[in-house]
Amino acid sequence: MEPLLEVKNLCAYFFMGSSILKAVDGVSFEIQPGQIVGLVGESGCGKTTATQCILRLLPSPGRIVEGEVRFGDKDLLTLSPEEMRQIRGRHISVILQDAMAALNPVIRVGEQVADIRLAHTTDSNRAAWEKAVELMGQTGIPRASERARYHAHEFSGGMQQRIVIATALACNPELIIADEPTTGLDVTIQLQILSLLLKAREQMGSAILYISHDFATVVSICDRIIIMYAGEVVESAPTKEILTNPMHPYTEGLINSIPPLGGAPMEFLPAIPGLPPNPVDLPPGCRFAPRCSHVSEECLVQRPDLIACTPGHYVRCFSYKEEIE
Amino acid sequence: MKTLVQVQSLTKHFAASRLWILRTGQVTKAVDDVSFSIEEGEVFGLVGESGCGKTTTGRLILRLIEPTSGDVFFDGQRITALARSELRDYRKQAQIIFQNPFSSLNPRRSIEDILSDGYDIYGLANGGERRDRMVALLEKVGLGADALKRYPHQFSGGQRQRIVIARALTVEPKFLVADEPVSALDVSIQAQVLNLLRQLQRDLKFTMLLIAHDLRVVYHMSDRIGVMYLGRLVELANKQELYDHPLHPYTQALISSAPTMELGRMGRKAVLKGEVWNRMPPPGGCVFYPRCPIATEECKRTLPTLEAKGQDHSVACIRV
Repeated sequence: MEPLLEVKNLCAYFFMGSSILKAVDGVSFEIQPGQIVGLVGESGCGKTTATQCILRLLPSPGRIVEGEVRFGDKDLLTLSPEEMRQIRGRHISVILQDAMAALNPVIRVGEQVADIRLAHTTDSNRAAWEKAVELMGQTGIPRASERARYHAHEFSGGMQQRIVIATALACNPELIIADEPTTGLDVTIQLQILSLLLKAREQMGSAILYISHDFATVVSICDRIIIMYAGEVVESAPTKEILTNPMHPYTEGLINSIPPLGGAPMEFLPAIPGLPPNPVDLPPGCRFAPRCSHVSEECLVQRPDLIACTPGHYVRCFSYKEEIE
Repeated sequence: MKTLVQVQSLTKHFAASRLWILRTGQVTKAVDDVSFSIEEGEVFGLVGESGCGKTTTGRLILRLIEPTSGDVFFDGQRITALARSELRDYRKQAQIIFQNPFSSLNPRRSIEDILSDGYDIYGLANGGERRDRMVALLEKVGLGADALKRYPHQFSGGQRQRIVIARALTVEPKFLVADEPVSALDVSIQAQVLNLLRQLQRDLKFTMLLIAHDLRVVYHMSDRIGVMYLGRLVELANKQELYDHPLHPYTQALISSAPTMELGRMGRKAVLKGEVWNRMPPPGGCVFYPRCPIATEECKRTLPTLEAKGQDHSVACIRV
């Protein structure tokens, strides 16, 4: 199958005076139509920067220095600003973490949802408003026709996130980028938002790039998981593979760091020692080497490549040998 | 075992506004008739969603804010009756770790200044001895002596939280309130800080009230767990019992909502309807009534109180 989105060797650096911050350094991955792909990593690993590159919304002094982002038959990095504007909101939409910051506080929420329709479709004002109300209803906002006239501050965090999701769904996009959509929400609300995303995929066939630092939520909705560390993809595999056979020591450490729920009590968690590297001063070899328990001479001097170990399971670690071409 | 902290019908109501002209008569019952006790040497977890009153409860116990009614006893002493001047002694025994290590350290003060406060206020040590104690403490939390001369901005979130922990321990408290100690940290750092807290708790044998919204963190760290919802304590049990046999429908929802590390669990989860805020409970009724899957007409009229159900397990629900 032709992938919907293909990111190839993406490099985005921030140029700050004499130092260069390599936020995203050689990231490649694919998303198939209708697939939910999870992008997991800790703060500062480059997951948000990678999505800003896809949307071409990278703030200065960041610059995409290399790479290709293929969306269908287009390379998003070569499109004109006007062509890019046609893509955003219509073909690729985004859900951000802080819903209150994503919504305009002085415009009625219904108008903000309708705006997307007005920008990208031939809808009349009235039709766009009606569609907005319909979308808000679908995302679980009670009395949507009345609530569409409210302002953002009149909603709770969970309800605000539903409105943002309504804007993201307004034009049946092929790809939804959800950047930490449930962080900051309570667990019971988190579950409601996750089921809403699953419903969107089911009904419109949208693919979702789900970005989160929370491994457990990613596991519950994603088909495939990509693990990032210090600007690189360190492992990528179907969710089941990652869970049953995590290959990269970082992935393993990340999974083991999560306190278990139920079962025999554990005295100490097998935590990963140390801190992530400073992104302006990355280690020359493997970036995880200073924290890794399986580190060897080779790891300290040479940077490992992302290799395919089994079909569909990629890992960036010298402990594994490429098994398929 | 000896009871160290006893909370009796603790209540805190916030009026909507202090200005009479803005007063609507609306009162937020942040903490409403909460009672529990913490044994010496145990870790007691309080879990619940944002706005359930768990942080307010922690602050009331430390008397950082004044209760509307109810009592707190610490080591047999009635804390709620202490005069302001007497609180000083209490503060030496009961300390707190705050959630956000970026806002709980003064950016203009060096780590040495930050840590020396406790020693100075209580006259515990000064000069070389104070320094030695600070270095020993920093080592205990996994930092070196070189940290003393540095400032908070030179440390990462996890390191700052270690400094916050060290600061709380300078006065060698008997009781520590840890209010969301890891929620601002990354997963791998979270595990480090949780391990540190556990190690310190085992070594120094302090009693801890752990407040967190993450059931996994609370389950991992605590001996007994209290579940709060809209200001009320709805269930209280030892952790194994609570996880294996949750009785309150809210506890059940909380456990089933926690993302699991298993595949395909999403489809089988019972999604709890509604939200806390747009569904306020009926006056005089159960606080969970509007979202409860097993509510009856009676629940609308009866406010259940915590009742014992078996060994070390109590629940506030008339349906169980």
